[in-house]
Amino acid sequence: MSWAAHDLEPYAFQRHLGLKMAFVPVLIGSYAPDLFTKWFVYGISIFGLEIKADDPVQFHRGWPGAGFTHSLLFGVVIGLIIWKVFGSKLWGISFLIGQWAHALTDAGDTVGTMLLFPWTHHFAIGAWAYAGQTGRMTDAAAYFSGLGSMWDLVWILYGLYSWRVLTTQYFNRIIFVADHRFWRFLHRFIGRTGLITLYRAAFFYGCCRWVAWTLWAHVVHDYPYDLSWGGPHWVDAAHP
Amino acid sequence: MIPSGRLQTLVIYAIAAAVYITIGVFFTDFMLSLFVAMGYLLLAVWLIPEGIRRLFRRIGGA
Repeated sequence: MSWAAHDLEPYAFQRHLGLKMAFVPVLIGSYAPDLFTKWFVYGISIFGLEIKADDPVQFHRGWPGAGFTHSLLFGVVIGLIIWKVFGSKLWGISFLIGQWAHALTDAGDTVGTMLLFPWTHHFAIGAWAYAGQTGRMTDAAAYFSGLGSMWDLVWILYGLYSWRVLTTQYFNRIIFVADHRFWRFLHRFIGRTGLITLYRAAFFYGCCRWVAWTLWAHVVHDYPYDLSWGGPHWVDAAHP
Repeated sequence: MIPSGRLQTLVIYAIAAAVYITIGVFFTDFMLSLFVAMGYLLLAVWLIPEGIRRLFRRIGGA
């Protein structure tokens, strides 16, 4: 699985697609595959009761399970529903772009994704270890010690290189215009400065948590870096 | 040269990021939600600076 890449990819697409996409549905699409499943993968405790998937890997990426959320078909179906129900082709296509980016990015780990679901074959590049089954903290430590972390860094650097998409002028000229109904609605409550702040939030979040988790893993704790293919090998990587 | 308005924005975001990262390193739960980050960012780069600006304006006008 990936961490900050899902926060940052929408800004890279924004640089290239301009008025042809709406930013918010791309962001929603980018988070969608994990939106309702990640908590069950890591497990939560409610009033002392531990709730967690029996087989987190199977649940997250497999079938039977919620692995279909990481398929290309899922993006098409939800994109079509958004288009037909809300009457916005732009929102439907934008959601599709974000969701496909997530599904393709997560194919980078050792479990991979069922990109062509209902065909249940897992497409896995295997560049970094999937360690979701070990719990959130070990997963974070492993991810930020391997190539997944470097993949996130690529998006951070590309985002900084594309800094113009974060400016007020760009927001006014492109982001607001492309999806004016949504932003105008929100404008009633938080004004222009609030809108721009919200627009930048995912980029801020992605960059900051990349730095913070890296410091947590390698300064506060002593997890070793292992940038070899499929690493880090000090964690038990899951496979499909 | 960076225009002064843009530089001021950059400094405010940099301070907000430094505080967010510091909190996040020691209380990792703080970093788990985009919505928390959105709320924090609205507070740190918009509402608090705006409040300070108004306070200074009021003091200056008094």
